[in-house]
This record gives sequence, structure tokens and C-alpha cells, in this order.
Amino acid sequence: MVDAVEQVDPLADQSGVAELHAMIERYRLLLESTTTVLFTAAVDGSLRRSESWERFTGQSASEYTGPDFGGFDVVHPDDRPELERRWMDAVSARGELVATYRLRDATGAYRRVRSTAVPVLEPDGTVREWVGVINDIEDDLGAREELARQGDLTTTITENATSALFLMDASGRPTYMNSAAVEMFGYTLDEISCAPLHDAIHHTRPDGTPYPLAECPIDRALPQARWVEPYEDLFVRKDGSFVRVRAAASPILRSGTPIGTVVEVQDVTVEHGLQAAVEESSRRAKFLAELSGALDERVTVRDRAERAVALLADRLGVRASIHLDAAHGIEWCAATTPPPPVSDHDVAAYAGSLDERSSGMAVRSADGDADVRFLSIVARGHDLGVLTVAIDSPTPGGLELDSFLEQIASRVGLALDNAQLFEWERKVSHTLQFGLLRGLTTRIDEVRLSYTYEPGSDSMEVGGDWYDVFRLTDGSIALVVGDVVGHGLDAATEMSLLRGAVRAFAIDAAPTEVLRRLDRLMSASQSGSMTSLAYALLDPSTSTVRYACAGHPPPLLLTASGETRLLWDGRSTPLGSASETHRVETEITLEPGDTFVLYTDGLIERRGETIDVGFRRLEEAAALSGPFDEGFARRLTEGLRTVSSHDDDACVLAARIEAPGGFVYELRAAPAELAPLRRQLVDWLASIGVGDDTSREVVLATSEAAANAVEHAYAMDGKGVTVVRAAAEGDEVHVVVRDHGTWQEPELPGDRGRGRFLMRTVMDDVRIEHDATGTIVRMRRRFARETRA
Amino acid sequence: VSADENEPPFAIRVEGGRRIVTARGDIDMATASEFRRHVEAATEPIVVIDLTEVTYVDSAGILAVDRSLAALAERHQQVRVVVPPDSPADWTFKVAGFDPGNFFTSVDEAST
Repeated sequence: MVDAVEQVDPLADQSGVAELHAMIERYRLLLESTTTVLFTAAVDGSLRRSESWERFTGQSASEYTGPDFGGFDVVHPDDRPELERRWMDAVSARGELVATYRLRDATGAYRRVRSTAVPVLEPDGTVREWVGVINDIEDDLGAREELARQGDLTTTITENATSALFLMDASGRPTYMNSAAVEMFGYTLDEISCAPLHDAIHHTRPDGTPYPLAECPIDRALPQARWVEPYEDLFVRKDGSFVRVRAAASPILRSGTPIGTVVEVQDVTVEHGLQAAVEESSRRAKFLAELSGALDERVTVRDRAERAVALLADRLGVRASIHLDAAHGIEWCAATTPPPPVSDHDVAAYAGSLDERSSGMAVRSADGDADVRFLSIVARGHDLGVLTVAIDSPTPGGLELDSFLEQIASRVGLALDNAQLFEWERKVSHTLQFGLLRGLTTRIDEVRLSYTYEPGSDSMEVGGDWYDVFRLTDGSIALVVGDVVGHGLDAATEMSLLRGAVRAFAIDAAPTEVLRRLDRLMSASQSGSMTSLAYALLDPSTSTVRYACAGHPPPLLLTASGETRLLWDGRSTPLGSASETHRVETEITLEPGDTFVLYTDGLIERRGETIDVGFRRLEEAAALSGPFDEGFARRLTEGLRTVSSHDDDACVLAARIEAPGGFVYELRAAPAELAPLRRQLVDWLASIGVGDDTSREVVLATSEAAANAVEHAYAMDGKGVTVVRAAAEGDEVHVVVRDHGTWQEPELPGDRGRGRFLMRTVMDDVRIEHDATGTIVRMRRRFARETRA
Repeated sequence: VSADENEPPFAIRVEGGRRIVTARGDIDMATASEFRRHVEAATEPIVVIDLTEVTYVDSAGILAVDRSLAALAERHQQVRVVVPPDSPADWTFKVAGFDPGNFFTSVDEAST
């Protein structure tokens, strides 16, 4: 209102001076009634006498008039220099002056006033005098309250802002900072107001190098009078730590001139924290995937548990342990080094309380700083054990940890449960297989046997290999080695079925017939598995072996002199082949000291090698496997399988007709052949300590049996071969007389009957069997061993 | 045990109307028929079969002795078989229960 002084050109009508004075008088009255002080001043600016001035200030005319400018004495000392300067400036510039300052009233109190002074100009433009009004605005309570309110609002806004706010003066020194700024940087205004703000909070880069003021983007706000758009930066706290911020700056302009800068700083750590949380979350998902994958690579429950705690330690930096079957007494435990700070008792107590809890997790603050969590390891509805995790440092991102741990426990549970199932299956398979492979004899009559089974080293699964040895009623010995393709319980089960089937089918059947019966069985049972089989009939009385291989590696013949030969005859396709198969067999005769070896391909196959190399190595190893005894097969296997690892299992079955200590004699179908047989037999019996009386009984019975063969099987044709074998078995002499002739009943029935009668009289046991292949006579006679002189 | 290879398996001599057939070595399937031939060839009224030096007799030998005895008896010739106790022939005959009732323990005994 006061400012809205009517703009009048007092010299607009120079002819009407009276009119002018009248007008001035009107204004004076008007002003006196509405203003506090009305004053005039001389050209030099010195006040003239003013009643209203004297009334307000209490000054006498001598105090404020005149060239001493005594009027300024009642201006507040803080306001006076500027007012004096501006007044003199206005006087010399002949410009108007509007000023607000504090003026001491007659009571001595300073009151805020606003004054306006304008020059009254002569027609030539020179100043004639000055007129002015002074208004007391101190009493304008409404205005003052408004100001205060606005001040409060500003304060409220600035102090409650989450952003830190700084005001810098033109020199870059902070003149104001809100409480957010104090909190964010740790400084009070007093601590940093003496130097540019940059030196307090922006002096160093993250890499430790100084950050020159000249390069500071904030600093450009002032001289360039432009906004600095929000950008991200790292500022430094009082304690030297960095804080990630988003900063913006804007110049404070007065009449277009920058006089300071407002700097707004937002802490974006939280924002980045959220981003970190997202990263942590994805890191956790990655960990869970890695955990599952890593556990899959291990086979046993224990290996998996140990891998799990190792991963937890390595990737998450926690201490962890896994107690298996914790509720029923701890079976065992896998733990990091060092382990979580809990005892087995703690874990068992937790596991024991499972029934009463709905949650699978318990939290316990341990004695130290570690935060310990117990988690049930549950899979497929049953409780496997307890995962204990000790967290020594807070997790990044502040993510909720419990759900993550529960996910870990769940993955671990599934992996362990799978391993348990797997171990169970493996155990059953092994039981099946080793139950079948165990307990075979190492000797059947004069046939000595050596066998071994070795599971694959790389795979924990059981293979489908088996071997079997059994004696048929005709005295021949069946040698079986088979290989069901595949591993695990299925293969083991199939193997046990086939093993039984071979035994059943072997009765009264040639090798090819055994294979044909197996073909029919597998076709009928629609068994999906391919099986290879080597089936051999060893006839100890003739030292012959008849064999057939169905998709199986060839038998190996090892002679006494160490020569080897692979027996490639008698081969046909594997069992279970879809097509009708022609089965073939072949026969060889073993020389004294020969070893007949059956095996599965696991013995010779090696990754990255051709099968020929495997066969060659087998022959070399067999020649080096030493004397034939029970350990022969094992030594052969070890000699072949030490070099590298093996996926497949392998078994070996080796047979040899006993030569050392045994008696073997072949005679042609001629009467003259009998006496030499008897002489050899007498010598052999004497060599094993059989006394004379017993000796002649055994010789008589043997000779009678041989004579029968010569006469009735071969009709003394001079060609047919009869094999006589004898061996000492404990306190018995066993004699086997075998021919391959065609038995013809004697013309006079009594004649040969006398021979059999003699045999039965002198021997403890005599068995005579005829079949399509000939006659076999088995006799046993106990004897008292005599020590030779 | 075995007989001297150089000695013939059978020796025949006639003393005072008696034919003495001495067998050596084994009487088995290989020699049984020769044994019978030598024995049954006798025409003397008394035939002595000496098995003292026989080293082995089997069922074929028993059969040969048995058949020979039967053949000579049919011709009314008297046969005496010398089988010393515990000789191989004696042992086999005992095992077989073969005792035709005309066994003597020595040639001298059989000659009286």
C-alpha cells in the first residue's frame, strides 16, 4: 500500500504552481495521516526539519538536521552502513530509494520500518529536494506472523526432507544445512562453514585420489548460474566413509546474479540396497541350482552331505553341519571346519522336538556372535536329519534369510533321500549278486577252479555279470559266465533269474541246446535286456570242453608252457536277440596243464581302446598270472584292471583239470593196453601212499572198468580212447573211467558181470552211467595213507 | 610185480604123464585166450596149472581158468591148479569167491 504511491510528475504543469502547492499540501496531509514519518531532505541528502521524525525518533532538530546526517544515529548500527551507502548512492544518482531497516524510536526500541524517498527535480533536471515517507511496519503483526509462519514452513520442509540440503554462499561455503544433511554426513554446520562445501564432503574419489574443486560439477552451478541436473556421485562422510548419493544443485539468483547455491543430496544407498537385494536374490537362486547340481555329482549320502556343507561354507560363508537321522540317535555328521557352535545334544534335542513344532526351523542365538539355525531335512514326507547353519556375519541385501535356508534344506533333503534310495537299491543289488557269486567250490573232482568278480570302480552300481560252476549228473562240469547288459537292481535281478535258468536248462543238454532254451525263455518273458553268455561243458574224463558263446568274448586257452589262444569258434548272437538264432558249439581237448578261461568284456574293454588291444593285453596278462591256484583269476583281473578306471564290472572263471598229484591215463581199445595202465596206476598209488593191499584192489577195479570199455564200448577196435583218471581226495582215491564208445551188452551176460562184481567188491562206491556220449565209471576207495620210507 | 619181459608167459613141460602148464605174468583180457589154448591143448590125463608166478589175474583170467577147467573135465582129464596162499591169483580168486575145489598150494603138493 505504501509502495503504491501514486506516480505523479509534479512538474507536469509548470504554469499551475499554486495548483501544484495545493496538490502537494493535499498529499502531505494524506501522507501524514497514513504514514509514520514524513520527511524532506536537502539536495545533499541531509534531513530537514520534520515534526513527524522528531515525534517518532525523539531527536531534536539539531540532532538530525544539517550536514552531520544525525538522522543515521537512530538507524540500527547493523543497518546503518548499508542505508548510508544506498542513500548516498541514491542522492548522487538522483534515483529513488526504497529501504527497510530498523529505526530507534523515542523509547529507544528499534522498529522495523520501510522508507521510500524520491528526488523532487527542478525543470533542468537537477534535484531541488528530497521527499520521503517512513512507515513503521513493526506493528504490522499480521505480516510478521505470516513471515514467521513462512519461516516455520520452510524450516519444516527443509528439516523434514529426506534429502540433505546445503546452502552455499558465493564462495562455496556452506551457510545452511538441514538435519538430514547433518545425519548423512556427520558434520555440523559450524564444523564445515569455514571452507567450501566441496572440501568437506567431496574431497576424495573412491580410489583415494583427491577430487579437485575445479572438476566438481556442483561447483559449476554458481559461476555458470545454471542447474546441475541430478546425477549420481560418491560423497564423503565425516568418518571418511563414502556415501552413494544423487546430487543436484541450483543457483540462487538475485536480480539475475548468482549469490549462492542450493545443493540437494539424496542417499541412494537404500536404492542401491534394493538393487543389491535383487542381486542377492538371483545369487541365491544360482546357489540353489549349483547346490543341486553339485550334489547330483556325488553318489552316497555321506558324500552328498559333505559336499553340501562344503558348498555352504564356500559360497555363503557360514558354518554348517548335517546330522543324519538325528531323531533316533545321530548316525553320523558332516560338518565344516570349524563346525557350528552346537553340540550333538543340541541337535538331537531339536530333532526330538519336531513333533511339537509346526515350523521346520528353530533359531538360537549361540553364545558367540553367530546366529544359529536348525532346519529339518525332510524329503518325501520323512525326516532325514538336521541341517545346522551358523551365520557369523549378516547377509548382504538384508534379505530374509530363513526362506532361503529352508530352500537349501529342501534341496539337500531331496538329494540325500535320492542317495539313500540309490544306496538301498545298490545294497539289494549287491546282496543279490554277491549272494549268487559266493560259495562256489574251488574243486570238483579233478577239476580245479578259480574265479573272481570285481565291480566297476567308477560306478557304484552293481553290474549284471555272473559266473557259475556246477556238476551235471554225467560227471561233466558246466562253466558259465554271463553278462546282463545294464546296471543296478534290474540287471542284478535279471542276472539271478538267468543264472537259475541256466542251471535248470543244463540238465541233459548240449551247450547249443542250453542257449536255445534260454532264447525261448527270454522271448517268452519278453525280457528287454541283452545278455551275453559263455557256456562250456568240461568233461574231466576226456579232458574235453564243449562250449558255445552267445555274443560273448571268446574263451581263452592258456597252456602249461604259457602259450595262449583265443577260442573264436562256437560263436553266435547274444541271448535275447530278436531274430531266430542258429546256435553253434565246438569242442576242444585240453592237454595236461591247460587252463580254460571264461570272462566278461569288463575284463578287457578299456575306454579309448580297440577291442583287439584288449584281447592282446588279456593274452599277455594270462601268461603272467602265475601258477594255477585259487588266486589265478584274481591275479589276472588285477593285472588287467590296475592301469585305469573301469565303468564296467568284470568276472573271470578259470578251470583246469588237475595234473599235479592226479593220475591220467589214456588207452586204446586193445587188451594189451590194460597191463601198462595197471603198472602206471600202481606206481601212482604208491606215490600217494596207498598201501599194497588197497592198491591192488584199486588197480583191479580200474582195470576191470577199462577192460569193459575196451571190450564192450569199443569192441576192441584198437582205436577208441578210454581215459582213466585218479585223484586222491582226502582219505579217498577217486577213479573215473570214461569212454565214448557205444555200449554193447555182452553175448554171455555173466561174463562182464563178473568184472562189475569185482569192482563193487573191492571199491567203496561204484557208479556206472551210460549216455549218448559213452560210459563213465566213478569209483571211490578209502585208504589209510602210508608214510613212505 | 611184473614178470620178466624176457621170460615166455607160458611154459609147458610133461613129467610122468602129467602136463604142467606154468603161467607167468598177468592173466587178463590180453592173455586169457592164450592161457586157455595152452591148457586145453593138453592130452595127458593129469594137467597141473601152476599160477605161482602169475602176477595178476582179473575177471578175464578167472573166466579163462573156469572155462579151461570145464573143458578138461568134459574130457575126463584131471586138473590141479596150483595157487599159493596170498599169491596174486589167490587174492583175486578169493575176492571173486572163485574156488572150484581143486586148488593146491604148490606144484609138489599137486604132484603127489
